[in-house]
Amino acid sequence: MSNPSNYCGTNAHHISRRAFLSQALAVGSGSLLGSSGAIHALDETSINDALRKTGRSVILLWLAGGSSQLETWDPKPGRPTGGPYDSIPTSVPGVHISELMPKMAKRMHRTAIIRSLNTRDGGHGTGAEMMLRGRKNEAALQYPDLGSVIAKELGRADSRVPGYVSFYSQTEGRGSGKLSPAFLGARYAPMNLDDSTMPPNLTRLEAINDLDHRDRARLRELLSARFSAGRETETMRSHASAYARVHGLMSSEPLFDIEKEPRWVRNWYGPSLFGQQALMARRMVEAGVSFVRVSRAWWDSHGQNFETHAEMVPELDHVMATLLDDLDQRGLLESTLVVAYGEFGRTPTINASLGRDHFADAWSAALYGCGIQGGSVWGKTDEDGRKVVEGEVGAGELFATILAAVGIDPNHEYQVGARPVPLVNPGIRPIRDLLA
Amino acid sequence: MRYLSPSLHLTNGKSSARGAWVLSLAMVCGAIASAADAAKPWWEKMDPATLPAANLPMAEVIDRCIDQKLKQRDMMPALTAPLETRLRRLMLDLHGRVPTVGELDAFVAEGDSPEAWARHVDRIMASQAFDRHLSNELNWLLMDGQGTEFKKYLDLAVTKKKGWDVVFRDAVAGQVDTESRPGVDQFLRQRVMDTDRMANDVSVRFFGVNISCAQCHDHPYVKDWTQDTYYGMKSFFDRTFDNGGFVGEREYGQISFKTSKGKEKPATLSFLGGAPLTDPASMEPNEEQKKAERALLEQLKKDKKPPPPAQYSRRARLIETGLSTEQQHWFARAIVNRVWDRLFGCGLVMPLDQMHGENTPSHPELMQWLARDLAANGYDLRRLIRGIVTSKAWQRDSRWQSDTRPARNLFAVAHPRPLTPRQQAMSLRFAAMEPAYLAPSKAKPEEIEQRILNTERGASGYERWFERPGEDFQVSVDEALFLSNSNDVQGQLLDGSGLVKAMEALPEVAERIRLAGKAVWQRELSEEEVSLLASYLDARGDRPQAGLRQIVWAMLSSAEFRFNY
Repeated sequence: MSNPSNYCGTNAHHISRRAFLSQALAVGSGSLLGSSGAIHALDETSINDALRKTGRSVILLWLAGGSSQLETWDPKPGRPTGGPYDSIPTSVPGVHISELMPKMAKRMHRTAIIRSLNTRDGGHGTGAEMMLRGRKNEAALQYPDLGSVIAKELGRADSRVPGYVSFYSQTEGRGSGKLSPAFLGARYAPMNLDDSTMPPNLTRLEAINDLDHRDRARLRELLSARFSAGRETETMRSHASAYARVHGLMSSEPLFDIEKEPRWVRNWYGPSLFGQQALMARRMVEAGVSFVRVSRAWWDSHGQNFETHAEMVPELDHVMATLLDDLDQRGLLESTLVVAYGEFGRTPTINASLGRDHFADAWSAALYGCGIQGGSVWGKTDEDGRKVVEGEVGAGELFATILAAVGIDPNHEYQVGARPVPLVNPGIRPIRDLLA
Repeated sequence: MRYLSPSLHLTNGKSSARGAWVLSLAMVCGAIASAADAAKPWWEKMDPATLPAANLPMAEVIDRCIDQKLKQRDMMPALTAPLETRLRRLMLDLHGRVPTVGELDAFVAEGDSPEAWARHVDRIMASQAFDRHLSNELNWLLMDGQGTEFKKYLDLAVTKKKGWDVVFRDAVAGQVDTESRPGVDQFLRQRVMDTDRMANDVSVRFFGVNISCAQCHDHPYVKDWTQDTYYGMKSFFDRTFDNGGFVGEREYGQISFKTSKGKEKPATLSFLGGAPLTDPASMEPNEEQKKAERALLEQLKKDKKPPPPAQYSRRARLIETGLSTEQQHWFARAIVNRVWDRLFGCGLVMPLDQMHGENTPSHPELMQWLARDLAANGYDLRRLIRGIVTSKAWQRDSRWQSDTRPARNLFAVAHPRPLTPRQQAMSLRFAAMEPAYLAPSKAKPEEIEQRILNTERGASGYERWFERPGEDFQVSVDEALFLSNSNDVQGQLLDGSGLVKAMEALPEVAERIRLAGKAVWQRELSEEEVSLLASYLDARGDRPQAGLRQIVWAMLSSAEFRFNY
């Protein structure tokens, strides 16, 4: 028996004919606003929305390996599944979180929690792929990941900074969840900072001086333009524009140099790599990068869950709180959405090694900043945290919420060949209660 | 254990297409006449009389069909491209790299005649580098370039000149033989966890049709394609399973699906919406038999042995049906279209995975003729490639001077195609090396072969910086940054460049520039270009070597180098 859950943009899935036609129209008539605004080119309020969108960014704090919801956002103290840690009250009356997160508890009125994620996939690789794309790939269609979509929708075509940066300096678990722009193409692929905090090939080599570097680029441009006359294709134009971005990107080099931050700011974020990368993420969104992923690994606590979380949760608490305060002080919190989750949560049942295993049936995510209603809590698990009893949502709803929070219509469609592909599967809606 | 039997009834040659491909009725009957015809696939609406004679040379048929359509549109095609441009194109398409100065000179010395061209083509196709490039391309077609083990099979299949039908047969049967079919089971293994993917991949890659739209509802654009079509195709694979890293197949089992109206319906085995196929009678095993089967499979897993092949295999049934006289037109057209697309940058049918009955090719007669010719000649891809690259249509210039560029599928002008990662990586290395390194005067032929192989291997490290072009391909900024600032490019291609050393050894500036033009762009530079580059060098009189490196860089990173035009 097969369970059809795929979508391919036909009447069979009730797609809006109006949306389809208006997109076709916008494509046909050329778009003033780039693809992000194209679909609503006829709608004045949407144009305003589109203009407001520029300057918005998303930071994803990727908790690789799967952090425990019970030691963070959904504690169950005193229950057999609860573990040794207590819960504490927060700045929002009635909402309690783990005692390991005192700083975020004080900032709960600015933060939203989802406690009812049921994403059904407890595999590191497949779970990570789904949580990065908001849905499963199809046999015939691979979906772009969140960063690529955000970079396309919020970024500027002529940006001098990268649209999408992904940090992953931890060695463990890097193979899980490969990032991919899929059909959005290389323009929206992540700049991966796997091995160092400086992107590859961003720095001019000693072998050539700055003047020659620029001059030879001009010579290259001239030679290419001569060749392209009478032969130009879209791909050839993309070749020219890729080179046109080189010097702009090279000038963003200081962005990646954390030494440029005052010492007290670096100390504020703390000495951990996670903290330093969160600070880099702030530098980047300040400079106009649309999407930054910062990863913290490795949460996969099959054994000694409580020691692991005793070490890692306070760090998460500190970094999240510092990032919130820093963004706020700089006036960036209104335009920056911060989201924290990983590929899944952890089992309520504590295993024989005092660990918790993979668990995708009832877990949590946290959001603050742009478009988010602080102090809101969505969904509920049962008293032992074994299943969702209220407000069950999946990866799709989480994605729709993220997109809606930064002003992107989740029903917006891309055209892939003959097929319209919406940003989230049809029927999936944002969690309105979490949106400001 | 009657459910897993020891022998596989899948022999090469059974229902083979070789030699005697009869035009199926489906391909030739009836002209466009009645209203009833409107519902037929395009190939059933064609008049057989419009197909050129089978014994004509392929290149002639190609040109006749292409030119006929251009004439109908009152359009003059572009002129034939200059010889050097054509040689560059030929080497890029058949060896995966640009020719060196020495190779180019040797070619050009033979003059520009159709006979000389045919000799170049034959010489290039007889080389091992041709086999390597073809195998690499087929690995992309079937495995997205990821077939590390399957590639061993492909290398062997290409060297042994196996027909495309044999490759299909071997890949779908998946029976490893260390001598003749090493690693062949990777095609199935890579997909065995997801039979939807397996069914769709086989349909797309071997038959040119993407049926996945019909998975959840009837196909929106193709009236004949329903959910039954999809599940009929999927049924060929639903008995295939993974057993500890080996692929097995059961002889029982039937899938059902939920219709778009929400009803449960059993699937019927059928090939691309054709008549239902019946399996030999098989019984669903009882609990005890299933238990014994599970125990056997567990034991085989422990012993790291493959499950015995099924006596009756639905995959073998697919091979037999797909290559049958009545149905092989799908298979033949699909590979014709892929090869054509690879060499022209646009298929006769676009998109490549929508080769269904309602998507008429740009040149239907040509498509039918080529498919018929291929099937009648043992699915020999070399024959097809040779026919295409000796046609006039393939040898056209890429520049279109007047008004609007004609549609790509008219083939009136060559379409500039972005290089693949392999083409680009290898071309960078070959262009920047000592220009005479491969000249016949420099070493014995075997030694030159070895030098070519070593240089090819040395280039493979660059491939990761480039992306495989697909439709609507965009060049990434990572690539531009790599060429602009990487140690690999600066150190290996510029500082250590045999080309720059050879340029320095020449006394005159103009000579130096001309050598760069020939090595990197495979052509004589115009006077205007020479003086432009000379003035660039002139401004760097105090650092002449740096100047030479910079002009080589500017040429290597230019659009002229990046595209196969």
